[in-house]
This record gives sequence, C-alpha cells and structure tokens, in this order.
Amino acid sequence: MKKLSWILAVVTLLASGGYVLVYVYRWEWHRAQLVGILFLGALVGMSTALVLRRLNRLEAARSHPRAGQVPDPLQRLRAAPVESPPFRWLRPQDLNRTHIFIPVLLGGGVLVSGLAWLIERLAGASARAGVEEELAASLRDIAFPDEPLVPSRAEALAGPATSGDPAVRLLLGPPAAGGTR
Amino acid sequence: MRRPLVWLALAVLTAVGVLLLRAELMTVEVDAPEGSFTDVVVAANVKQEDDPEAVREEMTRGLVSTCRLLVNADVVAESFLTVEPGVFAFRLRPGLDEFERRELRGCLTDARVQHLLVDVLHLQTVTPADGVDARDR
Repeated sequence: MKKLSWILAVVTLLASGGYVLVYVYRWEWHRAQLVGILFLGALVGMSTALVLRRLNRLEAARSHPRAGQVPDPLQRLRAAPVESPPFRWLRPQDLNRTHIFIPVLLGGGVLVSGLAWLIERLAGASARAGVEEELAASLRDIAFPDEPLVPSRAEALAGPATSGDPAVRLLLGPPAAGGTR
Repeated sequence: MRRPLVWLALAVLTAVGVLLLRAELMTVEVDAPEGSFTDVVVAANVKQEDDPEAVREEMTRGLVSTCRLLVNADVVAESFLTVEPGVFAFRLRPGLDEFERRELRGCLTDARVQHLLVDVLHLQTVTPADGVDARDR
C-alpha cells in the first residue's frame, strides 16, 4: 500500500509537471495554473513524506538498536573523537590563516619584551660607568690637597710656615706669608 | 561517472525545453495586410445538467468576446453563425498572424469559462494576396 502511494505520488508529480509545460506550450494559461498548483502540492507532499520517512528511520535506529550491533569497548574507544593535537595552528596548511595571528603576536611580544629588557640593562650599565667616571673627574678637581691646610702646632712653633700655594698662603695669613707676628 | 552524465542529460533537456518554449511563446508583432481576416470554427460543449443548448451559444459568445481582446481583433458584425448544433463560426478582422493564432487557439480551448469546453475546428487567416476577395465575405 505504501509502495502504491509512492508510485501514485511520483506519477502525479511527473504528469502534472509535464502538463504544465504542455499547457504553457499551448497558451492555455488557466489550465497551466491549475495543473501547476497540483504539481506544487505533489512536490510539497512528496518532500514532506521523504523527510518524515527519514526521521522515522533515524528514530527507529535510535530506539531499537539491532541485535548484535552493540559495539565492544574497544570499538567504542576507537570511535570516540580523538583529542586534537596541540598547536594545530602551527600546521603548515594553517600558517596562512588568520588564527595564527594571535599566537604570533603573543610570541612576538615576549621576544620584543626580552630584547627591550636586554637593551635597557646594557644601556643602564654603560651609562652608569660613564657617569661615575665623569663624577670622579669632577670630584678629583675639588679634592682636598695632600698637604694639610694649616700648619701643625709644631710647625707653627718652629717658624712661619711656607706654602707654595698662594691660596693656602692667603688662608694662613701673614705668618704663612712670611710676615712677623 | 554515470551520475554526471545523468545531470548533463537533464541540463541539456532542460535547456532544449526552455528554448522550445521560448520559440513557441514568443510574440512578434506582424502587421496584418489590409483587408485580411481570420475565420474560426469552434465546437462548444457545455457540461451542465439543465438545458445546455440554451446557454451554449451565449457562453461561446462570451468566450469569443474575451479572447478577441487578447489578439486585438474585432468580430465582424453578424458573422457569428451556428453552423450546426454545438458548432459556431465567426470572423475576426484584421487577420491574425501566426503568433496571434496560437494565442487565440489557446484562449478558446482554455478552461476560462466554467462548464464550457471549446474545441477549435478551423482557424485560418485569409489575405487579399491569397486570391480571395475578403470584402465580400
């Protein structure tokens, strides 16, 4: 019965589709419209029946698995989806895709940060050495003289101190300049 | 290998069908010669229970009035005749070209009027060049 229904539906579909063309060919537009509606109805009905039949088959296969069709654990394990390999974005066929952008950007950021850290350290070290040398030179200019600025008590008692440095003599006053007390 | 051939055959069939339909359905305006006319003979059949004879001519006249508008032609006055029961003849001026004759035949045989089935028995355009004096007809 079901087969007969399918045969009738197919025959109706083919006949109505053919007659649409025939009536259009004959300029019989009203007949073409009527048969066209029949064609559309048959088409929709057959499409619906096909979809429903497929759904019924799926439902039956889910609810009543066939005997002897239960897979053993090994088959189920092998049928299970395998874990995706890591770093899939590094596969050669994926290198020209967009999703390579973010990992490359992150890796590039790390590399650039390391390079910047290295440059900063080198620059800091070289700058510190130069600055210290310059500071040392400046301090050397204003360093205390090797000789004491004032004569010791013994030197004062022994006689007027003499100094080759005029600034020291000015600082020591007349005794250092060779004058009498 | 077989499936592409089937699809190719279907595509060729569709293309040929579309071209044939286009050739048959195209309408080209052809100027009718002066004095030309078209004679039409139709057989009408009314699918109605009560007294089809009384309404057959009336329904056929209505259908002819509708269809002659499609081809832009006039029914010659007093030319609508009952040849025999259920068979009617009429004349259209100006004469119809090939494309208009197809359209008129389709319109008359189409299911435009409920319960009325018309079959075109004769459809011919006569021009003065055919050697017939059209004005006397």
